[in-house]
Amino acid sequence: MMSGEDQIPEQEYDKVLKGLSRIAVQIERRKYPGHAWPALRVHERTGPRLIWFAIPAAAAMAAALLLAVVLRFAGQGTSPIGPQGGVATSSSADVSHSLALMVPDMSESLEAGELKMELPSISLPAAPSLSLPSAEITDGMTLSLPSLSLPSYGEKSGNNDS
Amino acid sequence: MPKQCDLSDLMDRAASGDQAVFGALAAEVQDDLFRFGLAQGLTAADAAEAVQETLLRAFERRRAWRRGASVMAWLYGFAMNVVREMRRKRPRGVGVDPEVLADVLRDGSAPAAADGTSPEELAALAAALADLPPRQQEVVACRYLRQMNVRDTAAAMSCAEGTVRATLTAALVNLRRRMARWA
Repeated sequence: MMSGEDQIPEQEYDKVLKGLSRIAVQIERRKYPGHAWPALRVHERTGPRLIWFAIPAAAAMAAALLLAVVLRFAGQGTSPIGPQGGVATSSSADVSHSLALMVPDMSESLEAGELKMELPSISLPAAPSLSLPSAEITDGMTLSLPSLSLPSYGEKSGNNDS
Repeated sequence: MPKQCDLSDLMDRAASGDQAVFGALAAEVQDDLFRFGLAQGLTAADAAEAVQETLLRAFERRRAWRRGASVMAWLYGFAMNVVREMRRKRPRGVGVDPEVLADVLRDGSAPAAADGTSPEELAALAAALADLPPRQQEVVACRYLRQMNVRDTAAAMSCAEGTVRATLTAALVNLRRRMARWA
């Protein structure tokens, strides 16, 4: 038996058991309301299942995809490196063309085992010349600066001070 | 409860390949399995579904039947797994099926009404059952609501007999504490 704060009156223990006994009596009176042994469900459960069709179908689809990829390269006679030295694996013609232009063509530079690389010339656009209006001293005392005119923005007119 | 020797004979024949015999076995045990589901806190509809699922699993595993074993303990093992799966789908159990509880409260026949428990106390007991941890609820249902012995309870719950006794003690303490609080 328990002691201290866990001490519970004995009559409460009896009430638990008697209550459980009353519930047990009522459960014992119940009968199964369902049907007899379900032959149909047994057939459904033990018959062929969808999974046995799904697995071979998925495997066949994967094999067909792989075969299609292999035949695509074999049938066109192409390799992952394009004829112009560029990467030609992309399905987009524009992308492969632009990539081929980025890599210099070295096929004509190979002579007698020597590797000569001709780098394309890079010409930067000429820097724009900047010419500032010169200031000049006219008479030794006076510095005349050229007048600066700021471009006008919009058609604003009138006084903005207000 | 059907006689164990008759059930064993039916199960032996069903396991050896006579599928029609399994139907006769199912007719013998379906009421017990239904009450087992009710005792475990399932509603009547869920308990009926649990009977179907239990019998189907037993039919599928009939080759694994060991001659001489207890048929009901073997079936209760399947039933307990089905009950646990149903409980996982439904987070909070009902403790006692509302229809069963209503019948208990309505029942004025002796000796039920002579034990001194009031309807409020019975309702509190049902709520306390639903609040018990799942293992404690299972062991109370097996031992007190189905009057199963410790060995069959341990077989159904897939645990040792000592575990059954310890869990039952803890469950009763919990129930008593809740009932005392109610009083």
